[in-house]
Amino acid sequence: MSQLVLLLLLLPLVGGFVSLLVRNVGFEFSRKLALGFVLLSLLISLKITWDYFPLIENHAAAIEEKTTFVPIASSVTVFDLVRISPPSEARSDTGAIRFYIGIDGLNLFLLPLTCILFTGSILGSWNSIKERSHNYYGLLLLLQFATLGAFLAFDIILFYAFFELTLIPLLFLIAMWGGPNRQYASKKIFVYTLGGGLTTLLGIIGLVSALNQNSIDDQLESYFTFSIPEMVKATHDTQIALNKKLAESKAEQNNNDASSTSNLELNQAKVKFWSVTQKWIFVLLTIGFLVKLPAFPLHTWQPTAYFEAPTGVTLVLAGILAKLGVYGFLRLCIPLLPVPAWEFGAYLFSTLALISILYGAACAIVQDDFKRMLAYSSFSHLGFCLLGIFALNETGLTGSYLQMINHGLNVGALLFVCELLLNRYGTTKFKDLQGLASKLKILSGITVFFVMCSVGLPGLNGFVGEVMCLFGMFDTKNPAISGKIIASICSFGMLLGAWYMLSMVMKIFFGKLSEPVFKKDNPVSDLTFIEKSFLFPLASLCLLLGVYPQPMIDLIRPEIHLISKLNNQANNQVPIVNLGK
Amino acid sequence: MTGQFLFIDYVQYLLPEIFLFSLASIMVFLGPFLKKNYPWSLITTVGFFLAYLLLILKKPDLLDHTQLFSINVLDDMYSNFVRHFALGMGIFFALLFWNNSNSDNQNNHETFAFLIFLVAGCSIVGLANDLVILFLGLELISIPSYVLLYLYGNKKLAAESALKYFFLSIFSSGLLLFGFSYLYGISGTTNISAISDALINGFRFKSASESDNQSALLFLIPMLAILGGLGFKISMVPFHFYAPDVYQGTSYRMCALLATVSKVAGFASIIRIFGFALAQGSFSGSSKTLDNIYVLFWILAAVTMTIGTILGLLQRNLRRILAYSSIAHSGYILAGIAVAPKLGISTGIDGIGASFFYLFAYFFGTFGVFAVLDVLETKDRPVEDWDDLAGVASHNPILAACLAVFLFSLIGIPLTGGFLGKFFIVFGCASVPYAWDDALSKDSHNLFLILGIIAFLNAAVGSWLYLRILSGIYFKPAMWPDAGKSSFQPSFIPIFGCVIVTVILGVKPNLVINLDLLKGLGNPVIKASKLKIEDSQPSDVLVWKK
Repeated sequence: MSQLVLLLLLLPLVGGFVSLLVRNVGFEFSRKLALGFVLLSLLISLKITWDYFPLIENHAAAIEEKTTFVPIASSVTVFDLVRISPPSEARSDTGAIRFYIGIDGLNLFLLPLTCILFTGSILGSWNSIKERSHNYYGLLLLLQFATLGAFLAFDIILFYAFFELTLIPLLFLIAMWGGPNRQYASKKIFVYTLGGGLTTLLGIIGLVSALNQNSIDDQLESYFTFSIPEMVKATHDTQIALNKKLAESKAEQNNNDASSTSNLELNQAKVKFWSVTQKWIFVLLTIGFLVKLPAFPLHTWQPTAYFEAPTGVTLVLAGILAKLGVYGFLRLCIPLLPVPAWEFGAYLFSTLALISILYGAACAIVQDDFKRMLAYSSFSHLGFCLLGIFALNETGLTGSYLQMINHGLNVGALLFVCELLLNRYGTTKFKDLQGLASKLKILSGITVFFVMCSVGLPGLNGFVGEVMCLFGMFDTKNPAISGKIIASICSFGMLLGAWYMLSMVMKIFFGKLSEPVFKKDNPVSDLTFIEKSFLFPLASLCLLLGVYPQPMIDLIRPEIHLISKLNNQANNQVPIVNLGK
Repeated sequence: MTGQFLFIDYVQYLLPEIFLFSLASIMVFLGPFLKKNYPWSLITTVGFFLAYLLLILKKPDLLDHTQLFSINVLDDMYSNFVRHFALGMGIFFALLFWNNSNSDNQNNHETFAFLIFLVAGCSIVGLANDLVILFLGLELISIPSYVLLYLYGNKKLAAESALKYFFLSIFSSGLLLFGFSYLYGISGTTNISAISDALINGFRFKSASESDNQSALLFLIPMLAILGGLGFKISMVPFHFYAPDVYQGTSYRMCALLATVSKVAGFASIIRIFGFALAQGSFSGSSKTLDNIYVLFWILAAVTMTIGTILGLLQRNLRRILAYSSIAHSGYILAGIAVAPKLGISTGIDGIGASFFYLFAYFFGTFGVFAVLDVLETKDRPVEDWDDLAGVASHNPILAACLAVFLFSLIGIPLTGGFLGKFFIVFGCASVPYAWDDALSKDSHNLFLILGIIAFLNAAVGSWLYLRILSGIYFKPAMWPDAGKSSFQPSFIPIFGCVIVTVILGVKPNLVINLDLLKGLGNPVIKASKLKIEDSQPSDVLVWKK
């Protein structure tokens, strides 16, 4: 399986370079070449997912035993990249940045999702990208490489490297093939995301060096490691050991041991310092992911970038790159720093999620353009992911994961439709397009279906994720937030979502037919075979995930259980951490 | 036979430099008698290769390091690293200077002879263990620079630029010499190891009543003067004013020379002279005198990187942008030096190692940018503004891609050397150890954490600066039909070399640079201080404390 995983990662890289180098072949060839590579990687990712099913039992047991992330052993590829200090005898992961990739439940479904959406992106660009198309498809494949790499990485610096690497293809894709204001949009997204990313890197560095320093706890071995599973274990162990020490010295003091007072003070200082450090690191770490997500108030790059980017790229941006932010929370922020996540993260980020959901929905309502509306709707829907995560219980986390996948599929499909309209009419403004249902019957039908998915009609996929996020928040155990109130307010987001989505459908597809003037030699037709071949399987997938999401929930359960368990274990100790006597 | 060195040992040790000097001298003398198109470039390149070969084939341990206080040159890891670096740079520059068709300058022999002098000077700076030798090396860099600046300028601005550089350089040399003589006056020796040892272990004058504090104050004056003099070389704020003007008046290849060779020499000498303060971890505390010099470096680093970045954003001229960029990068390197005294070498990366890694990555990025621009600039089509780069991507995609890689490295995007450089520097800043019962150590921990934050803020803001160049290449429609077209020329070899090294440095740096060896770089002086002091002959003026 490790060869398959490596192949999955390297295939887009090779494809990207081949496509960049094969010049002067015309766009027909470049697009077929790119499609070939993407379909191949889609097949591999499906094969990997298929192979994962029988492994789940052992995998769950291994995670239960080690209380940290455990990539499936047969899927791991690992070797040193930057060796900073010699490895310790017991552990090979210390002292080096490693190329460490693997599969576990958390990234499993994101791989086929990535491949599906990149297929959609290439099919969506099928007729619209004709200039320098070999560059376009090459960069798109490189973007796929970086995204897959970020999902697969189990080394924190490797993750960061891939995370940041997505920026370069994006910069070129937006700035070279985007709308009229493309250069501004591309630079804005670049500087925004780079700034956020560097802040995250600072958090990562802070965490690695904090764990590296024995002075936090003399009894623990030094953890100079960049491996995410080891770091999760290390923060967890440190927290528990510190709490234990503090409890011991308190007990000593109760026994009226005179010398123990200074000991207690020292331990209190240590615990306090560690908790302050964790807080800072948590804040730093989250900023990059908040930018990527995006969440209020770091979202201002998003509408310009989504609108100016070529629609194929917007599809990827909304469908999969935004998920890197959610994934960052699930993989890094929450498991690595459960205490600040519980103490103030829940409070802060559920508020941000609430604002994002309502503000995004409100903005979406007043847009006069399909693509812009989708940008804001995506902003709003991803707020649910954030909300679910910071419920910090299994329901919420599962809901967040499902919402991540489902939103990817839905928004991917809707942006694909958006691209089809752009191709046919050159505009997606509501005032130009009206009553298309009478002309483009299949297109309208399938769009209505995806709108229903997105709105959260029970039985379709959008419903499951959003509702589980709300349920999770509704019965969160966190005393800092009143989950019931937040969940109730956020449920209005679903209502508003139905409002703007349905009114969009009303405006564009129903009513009296009114089309913009288009070139006579290019008559508007309904869905072609290629377009159908993307939209119909996607629709059936949405239906399947809506009706029967259980297999997916089962497969991600060990990781979700682990994350919430880490949280619970760390925060059962919280009363001791609070020093106010 | 202690204390006696065979002349032949020195000659053997210095063979690469001696060879280069002889070659350059011969070139200067013979040049006027030979025809104009004599293949000086080929001779220079071969000369550098031979010198490099001599360096590699040199016998190890030629010098007796137990006699540290009486030898003038050192044969340690640090000097080896700088020598390899310098001669490697020499090869790159010889190839860059090869094609001379754009310049009015017909004095090819002088160009190449001075280039050789310059590189040999940089190499000498690396191995100097004596203030006088160090000064010799630094002047060997400065004086050829004056000539080359004028030879390679565009004539209108070249005179101004060369003159400005000349006067300020003379000023900085004066400052440096003042510091050196003051240092000699205090310590009675010009041997750097001896001075460092005095500073590390503490010393007193013949009257035992004087405390270390007073001597620290005494040492502060020469050290500040020296830092000022060397700060000019590395274009450190507030000695950076010359950089934009001088860069603007000269050609890209000369900019490359100023931005790399001068800088390497400057940093090499700063680390050598301040080694006492930066020596890490192996003795308790840092030096007794000048204990808090890291604060000065902290301020200089923060100010230099911030001013370089902010002022760079205001520029339109490419040379000026890159000048400010080189100022900003000096700031990052200084941050590594600042944090060095506070870092133990046992954990992770150390400050000096990080600085040198950054310098190494910076060289390939900066050299690459300047080399590409040098290729793109022709007589009829100057490249001044980033608009002048429009269309390069469509006519010369390979060169444009190379430039993009270099710019990404300077921004600090992963998979390039620049990223790991910044990573190491900030990692160093973030991992200053602290003790629980020591408020001072916690303060310094937080202080350097702030420096790390400043560095990353600057990196994020500074990315805009390089993005504009990038958008000039890629996102603007071509203004000239033949923009950026160029046939193959020798300077393509170092450009491709730079691309390869930049990427390798970002992915698996151990292939080109041994990170473990880098770690030892900060400690040449410690080696000295560990030796038994009785074995050597201290100068008469000093009375050594045990």
